[in-house]
Formats: sequence, C-alpha cells, structure tokens
Amino acid sequence: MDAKVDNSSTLFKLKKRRSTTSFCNLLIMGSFLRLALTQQNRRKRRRSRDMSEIPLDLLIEILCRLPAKYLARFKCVSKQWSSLISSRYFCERLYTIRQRKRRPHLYMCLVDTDGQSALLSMSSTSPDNTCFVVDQDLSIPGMGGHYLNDLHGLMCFSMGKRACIYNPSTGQRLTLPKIKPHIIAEQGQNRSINRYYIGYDPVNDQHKLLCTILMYSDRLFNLKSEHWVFVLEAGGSWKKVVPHENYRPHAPFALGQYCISGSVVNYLAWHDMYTYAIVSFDFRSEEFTTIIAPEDDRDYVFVPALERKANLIEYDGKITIFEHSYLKTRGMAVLWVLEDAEKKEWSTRSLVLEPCQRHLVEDTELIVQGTTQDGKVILAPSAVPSRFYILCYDLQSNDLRKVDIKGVPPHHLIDKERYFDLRLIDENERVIYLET
Amino acid sequence: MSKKMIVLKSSEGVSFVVEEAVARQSKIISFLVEEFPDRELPLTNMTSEILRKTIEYCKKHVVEDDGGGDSSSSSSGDLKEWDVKFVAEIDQPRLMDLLMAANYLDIPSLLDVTCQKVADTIAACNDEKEIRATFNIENDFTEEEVEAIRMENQYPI
Repeated sequence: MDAKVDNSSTLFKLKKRRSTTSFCNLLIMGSFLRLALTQQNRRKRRRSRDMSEIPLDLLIEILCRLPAKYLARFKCVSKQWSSLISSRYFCERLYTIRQRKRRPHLYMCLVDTDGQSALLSMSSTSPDNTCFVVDQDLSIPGMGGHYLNDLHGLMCFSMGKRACIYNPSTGQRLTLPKIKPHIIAEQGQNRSINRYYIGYDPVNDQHKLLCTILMYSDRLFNLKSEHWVFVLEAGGSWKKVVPHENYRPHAPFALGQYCISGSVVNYLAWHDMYTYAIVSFDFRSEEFTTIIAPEDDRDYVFVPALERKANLIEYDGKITIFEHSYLKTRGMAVLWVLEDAEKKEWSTRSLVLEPCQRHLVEDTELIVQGTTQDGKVILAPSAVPSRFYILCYDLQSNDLRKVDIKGVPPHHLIDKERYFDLRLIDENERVIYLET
Repeated sequence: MSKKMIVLKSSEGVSFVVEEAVARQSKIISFLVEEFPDRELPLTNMTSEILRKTIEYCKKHVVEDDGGGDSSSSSSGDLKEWDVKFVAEIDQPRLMDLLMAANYLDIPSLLDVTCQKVADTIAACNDEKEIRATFNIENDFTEEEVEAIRMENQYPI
C-alpha cells in the first residue's frame, strides 16, 4: 500500500514537471492563452473528452498537422483556434514538423488572360525526382501577377496594384500599401507590371521587398525605372531607393530568374535593346551595382540583347548567364561565368546536346525556370503544353532529363492560360512568421 | 531466458502484466521502472480500456533485440499500415483519451499517430460548423467576426 502511494506521488511530480514545460511554451505563445486549461483538466476524468479538455500544447500539435490550405477555415472555429494558428509559436512548430517530412516542392503559377493567377504546389513522388504530382491548390481569389518570387518560404504576388506577401505553409498573408511612383509615363509610354524581389538583411534580421517600377516606349526606348523597398515588419512603409550618381535605368528581364547570395539579389536587366547587364541589389546597403554582360563575338548572326534567350543561373557557385538562343535550332547552349565581379572577368563554356537528346528541345521554345540545389538547370516550355513537363539539364554531365508534372486540374488546362512560372524549392525552407 | 515482466494498474484497479521492453516505450514508465523496480505501477488516470489499447500499440512497436519471441518487429511499411488501421478502429472520444494517454505516458510515436488522426478527422469536416459539432467546441465568434476572418483570409471552399 505504501509503495502505491509512493509511486503515485512520483507520477504526479513527473507530470507536474511536464506540465511546467508546457507552461513555458504557453508563455512563449503570447498573452491570449488562459492557463486554466492545463492541469485541472488533465486530472479531471470524464467519460468522453472533448476538445476543451485537450491541453493547448497538444492542440497545437494537432493543428500543425492540418493541411495548410484550410488553415484559414480552421481559424473560424473558435477564438482559441484563431489565436493559436496566428501565433508565432505555431509557425515555429509547423516549421519543425514540416522539416521532418521535407521533400522537394515545385510551385507553379498559372496566369490566364484576365491576369488572374492560380498557385499550385507539387511534390516529388519518387526519390530521383522524375515526376511531380500536384498536391495542393493554394490559389487565392484576386491573386495576380506573372512571377513567383520566394525566399525562406515566403512568396510574393500582386493583388491589383498592391504587392501581397504570402506564406503558403501557414496561409498567412500580408497585403502591402500601394506605391505612388515619382516617375510618370509620357505619351506613348507603357507602364509595365511591377517586378518584386524578396530579400533578407542578415545583420538587422529583416526581410525586405524590392519593387521596380518601369516605364518605356516601344523596344525599350526612353526607359525609366524607379525602385522602392519595404521592410516586412509591423508599421512598415515603402521607401524610395536613392539612385547613385552613375545609376542607369534598367528593365528586369520579363521571364528573368534571380540568384540570391547573402543579402544580395542578382538578376538580368536590359539597359536598352542592345545592352543587358547583371544587376545586383544589396538589401543591406540598399545599393545597386551593375555589370554589363559580355558581347557575343562569335561569328553568328548578330542578335540584339532584347532577343537573346538568356537567363541567370548559379554554376559552380558562380553567377552565370545561361544563353540558349541556339538550343532549339542547333542543340547548343553557352555559359558565361562571372569569375571575378570586381575585375569583371568572364569565362565561357559551350555545351552541345547529345544527339539522342536533341528531340527534347527541337519542337518547343524553352525558358529557364531556375536551378535545382545540385546545380541542374530547369527548363520549361514557354507556352502551356497539353501535358505538363519540365526538363532538367545537368550541365556538369551534359545530360538532359524530362520530368513529368501530373495532376494539374483540368480547368487549369483550357487554353486561356498563356503563361506559367515555376519555382523549385528543394532546400529547407524556413517558415517565417509575418509580423502584422 | 524468461523476460522481465512489470505490472501496470488501471484506474479501475485492473492489473496488466507487460514485458518490460514493451512498457519501456513510455519514457515515464521507463523512468519509474528504474526508480522503483519490482513494484506495481498505478496509472490512476487511465481506464483499463485505454491502457489495453496503449499496451497493444506498444507490443506492436517493440523492437526485438533477440530476434524471437511473440512480440513482433515489423518492417516500417507494415507498421505504418498497422498504425493507420489501429487508429481507424477507435471512435472519437476514445481517440482523445488515447492521445492524452500517449502524452501522459510520453510515447512520442503514439502521440504522433493520434494527433495525425485527429487532424485528419478535422480536415475531413466540410466547414467550421461541422468541426465544432464533431469536437463539441463552443462557437465564441459573432457572425461578423467570422465574416471578418473570412475576408481577411479568403479561401476557396
């Protein structure tokens, strides 16, 4: 009998210790939590339990395992659920759980002629990533914009004339205020859609958004550009980037990829129809630097910059221009590797496809859609094909592989779609909590 | 060689004789066995039914080191399938009890499958009303507040 008492009290002590741990978690989670729930309810026994008896730390464990797409729906259940799902603790816990189940994810943005976008998430079904299957439709009504831009699990798209930061893992969204540009379009000038890049300043631990506003006449004549930065924090606002003395207006490539290294985003942009450059923007100092791309002096027919098919990739850890103007016709691609940015030194390398792989590129115009973590270039048809696929080009072994994309809902395949963008996320994406 | 057995006692006072290796999957029991060897362990907040279920789970998941005996060590694929079946057969209130038991006894893998099962049940509900009804949750929102959340997080239904 004595033994029994002993054991019970030890059990109780242990339990108490664990409750204290949960209690600490609760404190982290914020002031909205009521503590009443934990201990008493755990000890009280009834014939059947309902949700209110579940301690908050367990409730979070459950909520973290819900499909992300419906998190907003679950917020409508009760005030408690709503505050839990919006909490920073939930966001961090979600990240830990997701990390355990991490697989490469491909996000696809499909745009129809009205400018409405759909966002689909796809995951790899095989360890060698030869097929991706759509697993979630993350679209939001009113979502627009052609380009997918992501960093640390945050995405950016446009909502009308505003930018919207979206966290597909938590469903959290932040719509930013409109920008009132200082430049104005003259007669005959077009204002193009804004381009956005998400960046990170590791020193101040801030996520920032860069917006480029563009105006130009036909063939990039009379180009004007202006840049704004928004710090993603509570009470943030748009601030105009003060241009340097030698600043030259530039238009980011319409289908351009970008490379992020530390606090710097690099992308390709045109200065005019004959010149293009690698533009680097440092999110910390908020300054631009540009390096004009080398002229192609080989004896091909001269192709103006505007018509060259080139994109930015990372090759051997170096910023590289991947030019594929002759991929379709001659099965050739050229790499312009920026060896030394300070000295503006470049090296080039030509790639010629194996004859047996030429058929993969012969009948379609391709665009670059980024690189995988192991350095393969992702190419995708420029027009929406009837059967979705991408090509993975291993530049080291000169090997081109087709990767199928399955499960795209049929209503996305009707021909009104005219453009799509892809982002492959195969590193561990961080799940960032958006301060609102 | 005979295996070491321990005795667990449910809230109704029913004793369960379990192999130590099986019971040790609970971090709490593992600790208690070391502190109080050869004693009966009373689990005063677990009913016999839930304790039986928990032991069933632990028996299936015990890792055999001598490669024989009646406790099974299965391949991870089979085990996963077994887990799915195991939680599928349990009704809602008992699932909650089992989840609490897994938390109380500190059995991480059982906590994971039960949490996932509850999450799946929530996800299978058509709307928030159904979730509230299934889990007996009080709606403390006004119509306007729900509408505001909807507007803020428009989502396709």
